[in-house]
Amino acid sequence: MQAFKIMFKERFKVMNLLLLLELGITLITFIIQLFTSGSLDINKIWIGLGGSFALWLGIFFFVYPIALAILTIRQFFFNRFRMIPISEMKLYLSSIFATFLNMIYVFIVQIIIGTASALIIIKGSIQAQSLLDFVKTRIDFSFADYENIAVSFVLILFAFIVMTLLVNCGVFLGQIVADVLPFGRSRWVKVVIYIITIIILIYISNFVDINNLDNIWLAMLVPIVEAAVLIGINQYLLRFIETSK
Amino acid sequence: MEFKDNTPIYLQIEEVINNRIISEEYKIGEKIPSVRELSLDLGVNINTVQKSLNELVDEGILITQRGRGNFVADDLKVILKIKQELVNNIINEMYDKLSNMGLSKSEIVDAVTEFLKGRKE
Amino acid sequence: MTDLLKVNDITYKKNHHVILENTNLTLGSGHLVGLVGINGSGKTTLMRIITQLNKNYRGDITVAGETAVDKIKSKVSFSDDLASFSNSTKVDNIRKFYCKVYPDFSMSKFLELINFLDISLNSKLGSLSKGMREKLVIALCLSRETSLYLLDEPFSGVDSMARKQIIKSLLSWIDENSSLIISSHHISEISEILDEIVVIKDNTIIKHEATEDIRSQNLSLEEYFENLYQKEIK
Repeated sequence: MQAFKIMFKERFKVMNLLLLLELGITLITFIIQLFTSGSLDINKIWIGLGGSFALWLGIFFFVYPIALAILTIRQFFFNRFRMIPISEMKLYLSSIFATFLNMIYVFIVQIIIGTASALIIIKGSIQAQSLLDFVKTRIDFSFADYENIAVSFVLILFAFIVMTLLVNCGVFLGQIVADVLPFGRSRWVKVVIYIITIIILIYISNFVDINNLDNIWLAMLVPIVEAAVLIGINQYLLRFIETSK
Repeated sequence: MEFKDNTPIYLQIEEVINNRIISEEYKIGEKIPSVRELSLDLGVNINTVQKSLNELVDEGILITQRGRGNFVADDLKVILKIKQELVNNIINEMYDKLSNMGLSKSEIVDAVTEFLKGRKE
Repeated sequence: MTDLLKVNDITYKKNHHVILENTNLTLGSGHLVGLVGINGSGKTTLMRIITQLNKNYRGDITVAGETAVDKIKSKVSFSDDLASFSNSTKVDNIRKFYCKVYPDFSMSKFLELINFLDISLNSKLGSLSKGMREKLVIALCLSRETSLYLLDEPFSGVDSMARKQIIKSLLSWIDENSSLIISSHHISEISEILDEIVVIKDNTIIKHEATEDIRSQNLSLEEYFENLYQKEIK
């Protein structure tokens, strides 16, 4: 339990720093753009602000999962975590769970930023009407639309989770193979092995094509099963991973 | 305390304890420090200290009282025996060194007598 | 009496290179053991295997009767060099980490140790000199109240005076029922506090002797160790 708390806090701290960075860069971009455009048209300003948010959102969208993956996988090679007197399975599950919670947190924040920036852009686009009226009259979502949007978000989240687990698996397998090979000590050899292993794994997982599944719930089940399988494999592989720091 | 590293430390510890008994740092019939205290005091492994104490108990110089610790034997004869042994060791060392230099027994006796005359205080 | 440590027929290879082969060792409790061998002989590897940081070995390790990985880890305290902590981490935060993950970590003992070793809780890891860092490593390792302590070359950066002080005080910091294995290049300096010595040579443990037995042959530990190599030169 302690291990989980520590790992969650460490990642949460980094995620919040990155969020501040994202907001900071967004504001700087907005201010720069404000000065260069010279125009004081309030609508253009709204669009500019929303646009800045959206721009960096798109870029940072990938930064978070990559940062989390790096933080997560690196820790398995650290003495201070591997010496903790708990089973390897517990350690792995705590780590993965801490990462997933952080992913969900960041994902939700990004959705909020995304929605806010969309609304800001819209506000800048419409002339006299109030934003609320515009939204009520123009954007008319049925329940099915909401459901689709929600499912899409969940599927994207699942995709990131499965991707992280795949990369984790690739790194673990790559490390194990590299330790056995006589020339495995070289960093370049390891990188090559990692990449080859990850590509093989992606190829294997593509055998199940989500797009062909009609049922939405089945489409959500596939990544869940993939994740469960990968978690099982990875926590087993962890037993063969040695620390480097 | 510095000990010689190429001769058993437990013997050197025995000598230290014997000296402390002679000098009355440890009085006859009284409790000596515990094994752990001696280990920390002398800076040596506790098992080595225990070995010394066991030897001294075997020789009758120390007596173990169960649950209470180790005591100097309450017997003057024992103390005299230690003293005699220590004196013998020192004289033995002196004899070895002087005879290696080529002195005969009578020459050694003369040298000692001369020395003591000069040291009358 | 169950042995505290049983290293049973350990063979360890990395990248097809043999580091340890058919290595055996049995250790009781209440011993301070010196682990000696030339550089690269496998001392660190052996300690990491016992601690379960090196995994791909053949043979088995039993500590205080335990063979499960998590149970072994609770019985062994290894001197981690703290490389996985960032340089801006404060000593106090490292202490907090240890307190949280090790149920057997004694806060009072740690404070006593860093006080003796003159380390400040507020110092950042990166600001510590090599010697201070090593002292911190020792303090963290010995603050756990467990059965087996492993100190891997703990004082190479510590100055000679401080080294002597720390070596003497190891006697008071290790409980009588626990054991310590310490590997060091300064054999003569730690010699007096050891009661057993283990020699690694030619990829295995070739000797496990009581230090007093060696001294009764009128050899110092250093001479004894050197003799093991002299035979080859002759």
